[in-house]
Amino acid sequence: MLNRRKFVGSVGAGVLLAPFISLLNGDKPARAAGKKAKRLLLFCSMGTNPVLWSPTAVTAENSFTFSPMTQPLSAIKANTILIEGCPSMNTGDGHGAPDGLTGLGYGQVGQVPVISVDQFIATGLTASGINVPIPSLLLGADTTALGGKNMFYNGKNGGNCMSTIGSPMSAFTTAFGGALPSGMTMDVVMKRRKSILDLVTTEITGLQSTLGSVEKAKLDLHLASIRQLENKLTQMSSAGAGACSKPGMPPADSMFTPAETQTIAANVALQNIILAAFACDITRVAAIHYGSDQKLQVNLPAQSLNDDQHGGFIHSGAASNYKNLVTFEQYLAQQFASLVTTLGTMPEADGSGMLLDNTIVAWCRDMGDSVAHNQQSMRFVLASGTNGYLKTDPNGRYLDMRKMTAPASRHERVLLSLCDAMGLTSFKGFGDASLGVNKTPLPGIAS
Amino acid sequence: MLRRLSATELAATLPDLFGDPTVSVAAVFQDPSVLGFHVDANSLLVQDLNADQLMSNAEAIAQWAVTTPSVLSRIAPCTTTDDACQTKFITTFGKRAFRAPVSADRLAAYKQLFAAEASFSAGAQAVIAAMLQSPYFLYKTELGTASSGTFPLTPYEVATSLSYLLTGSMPDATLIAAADTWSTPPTQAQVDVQLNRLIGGNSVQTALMNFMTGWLGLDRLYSNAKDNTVYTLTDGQRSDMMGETTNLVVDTFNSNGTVGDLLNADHSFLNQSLAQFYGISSAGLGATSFTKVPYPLGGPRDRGILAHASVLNGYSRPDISSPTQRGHLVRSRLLCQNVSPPPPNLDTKLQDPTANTPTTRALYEQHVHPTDPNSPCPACHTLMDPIGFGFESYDGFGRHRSSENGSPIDPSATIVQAGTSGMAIQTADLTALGNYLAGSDDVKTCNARYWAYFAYGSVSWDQDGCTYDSIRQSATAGAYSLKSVLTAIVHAPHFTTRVQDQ
Repeated sequence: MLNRRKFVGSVGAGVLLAPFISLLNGDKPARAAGKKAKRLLLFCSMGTNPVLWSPTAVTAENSFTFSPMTQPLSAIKANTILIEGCPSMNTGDGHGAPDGLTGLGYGQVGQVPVISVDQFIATGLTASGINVPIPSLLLGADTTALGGKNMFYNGKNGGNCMSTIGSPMSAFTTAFGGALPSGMTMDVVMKRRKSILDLVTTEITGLQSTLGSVEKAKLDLHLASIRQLENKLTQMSSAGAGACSKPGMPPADSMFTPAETQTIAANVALQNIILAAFACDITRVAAIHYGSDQKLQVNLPAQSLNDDQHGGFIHSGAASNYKNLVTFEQYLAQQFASLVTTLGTMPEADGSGMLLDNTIVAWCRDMGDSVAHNQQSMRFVLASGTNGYLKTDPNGRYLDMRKMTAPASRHERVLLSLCDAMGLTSFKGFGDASLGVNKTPLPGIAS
Repeated sequence: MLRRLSATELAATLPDLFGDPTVSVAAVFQDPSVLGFHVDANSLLVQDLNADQLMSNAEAIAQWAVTTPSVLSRIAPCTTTDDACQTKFITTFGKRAFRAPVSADRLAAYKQLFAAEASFSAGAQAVIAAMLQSPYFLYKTELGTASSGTFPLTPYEVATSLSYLLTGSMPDATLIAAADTWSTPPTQAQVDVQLNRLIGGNSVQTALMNFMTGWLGLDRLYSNAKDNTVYTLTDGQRSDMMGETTNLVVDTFNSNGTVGDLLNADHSFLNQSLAQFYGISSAGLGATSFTKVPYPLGGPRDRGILAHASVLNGYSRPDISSPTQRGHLVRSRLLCQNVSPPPPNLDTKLQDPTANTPTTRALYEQHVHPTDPNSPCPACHTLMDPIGFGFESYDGFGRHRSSENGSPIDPSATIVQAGTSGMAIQTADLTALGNYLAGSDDVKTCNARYWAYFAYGSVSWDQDGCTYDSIRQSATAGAYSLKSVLTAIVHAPHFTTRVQDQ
């Protein structure tokens, strides 16, 4: 255990614990009662080939056989729920990056503010008084590959998706801070940073006064980014003498170049940073995003994979490519299972069990059937501790929502379940405003 | 308009700013690709955790700069803490960082920042860190000053645009010194002196290849997956392939050639290993350096840049060629015609090769002439695959072939709706396809449109007719040489004047 204030210049456990202790006590009016999660981890990837994903030999929701593609999830079946058959609002959309986490889709981008569930939750947590250094830590290498998009939207940047951090070193520095300059104390550094950010903010606001609305809006995003940084620095400077396990520094960026062929390796390193950030309560909402909705360069020599997931595995069509898709999806499932397993071994700083007990993990996809390019059946894998938010079963659970009809089976309801898991009680401003009585979490998810 | 430095521009600017290529540039931005380029003014933003990342990067660079004597001596004309030295350092370094003189109010703000520190080193460190986070460093401003309903850009704004367009980096000392003497807006004669200087310099090659890479998707050579079980394409071979293309582009540019000269070049640039890969005699060629090699008609390779392995590898499937991708390249990047993405609910897979479809061409004929008369495939694939068939003399790795799985290669191609006449064009092989495209006015104007977008960072093809008319007229006068297109973009009114929302 290292003193993080000294080594990584971040908040101490005393401050870290305060927000979620109050959360556990349920004293925040905006948060729902019941077993809730403290943190959300989104694991994001492209759509897949449905017939290769779906469980087989299904006789009951807790009696089924994992498909070869999802077989690695069997290792964590006691923690998971597999869900499929949920149509999006836009089942006929082509590439579906905006669909995956917003409940809306391409047709709505630019028409209404499109907000992904991670941002809706992060904003909701902040509004309910949970103030962590980084409201949402969105990581993923090459998430705009081939002109594509990722799944994260904050409704503020004109239909552009948000930016993810793709460099493990940059993500590490952002989450845990860089080394202090020799001979300088943290107080001196903080004072200088505040002066600099004040100066930069003054420059930006001065520049804004000379701009029209379009350009001014760009700088509004810049100012918001600075305010987020200032909030983090404020917490750092007011932190107590807490302790936190600091992760090892990731390899240098040069180890992940060229970026196009090192995407997977970078993401694995980024996942470790998320786990450490959770342990240190630097963020409550984090995501790892595999590629864009147009491309993910897969370079996995051990699996004999070297191809683009989208153009190669999914759309090249030959049986050998679907075989490769299965192999790669198995790899992703292993990564997902590894994250869940590791969270289950990391103790909460306050001794309240393991991180997994208080975390909801969701594997989300931008598209339902990526071979056919539609969103008629979106798929999720949810995971939590067996005494956490989810209703789990020792044999695992599989919910085939095709037994229901839309809009009752809409995939937005799974996203609302994530909101519910994180304690949000109002879903106003998220997703489809016309969902009516179905604007509620999907039944059967929560314990 | 504000245009944030792209990740590529930032990575090029910092070494120039500090005069040291070893400066550490963190990977802060993942710039989205729009039309194949990473320059779109509306997509290049500072948002989310970017400010955090920029701060970390700026602090690391500032510390490195003040603790590296060779760098500090280069950027600091003095190293004392008195008022005169503070002013001199801030105005000198600031003018380079901001690509314009430091205004009086900004000088005062930075002096206040400096004065709060105990030493020159600490003060300089704070100033450098702040300037690297300043909007005047991070954004290229194109605001101008109001004048009779228009907004002529300032000399420094024009100099900055000129520099990033022609060198990919910040203005050099000569350009900034020239801007000191320019009018607002600068006259064409004033700009031309610097335009001609930079266009004849070495740095233009970087900017030229930045454009060509985006336009032709040359970076796909590195990002496109290849199936090692079919052929192992080494990093060295990729480097050789890009070297061939770079040499042809730069040579064509320097010799006042046109885009047509790229498409039907009767020569290429080879080294020993690439010649061997191509099956061409490597006698007399350098091991690593590239030599101009004539390509006679009927030779072992087709003529023109489309027959370069850099292009052919980038537009292929991992294991075989892709007539769809190669046809799409021609349709969208050379003819500027849109092709819709696959509609939803479409089964996009092709049947595996059979005895009746032993060649890639036969396989892809399923797109164009499907057995199912109700297939939606031909509607779009007719625009692409029949063009891509013209590349079929080359496999997915760019190797020449005359047969595939025992069947002869048919490299004839058809370009339906080739131009404004809507006529279909037939070509016999890739050389002939290149010849047709080389003579096409559509290709010339398409090239200019993409280059203008690369230069201006905004898409206004439909709205900004006057700008494109100006470019067309000017480029026509220069016979559409690559230099004349670049010059026409600079000479267009849009380069020096704004008329609407700032």
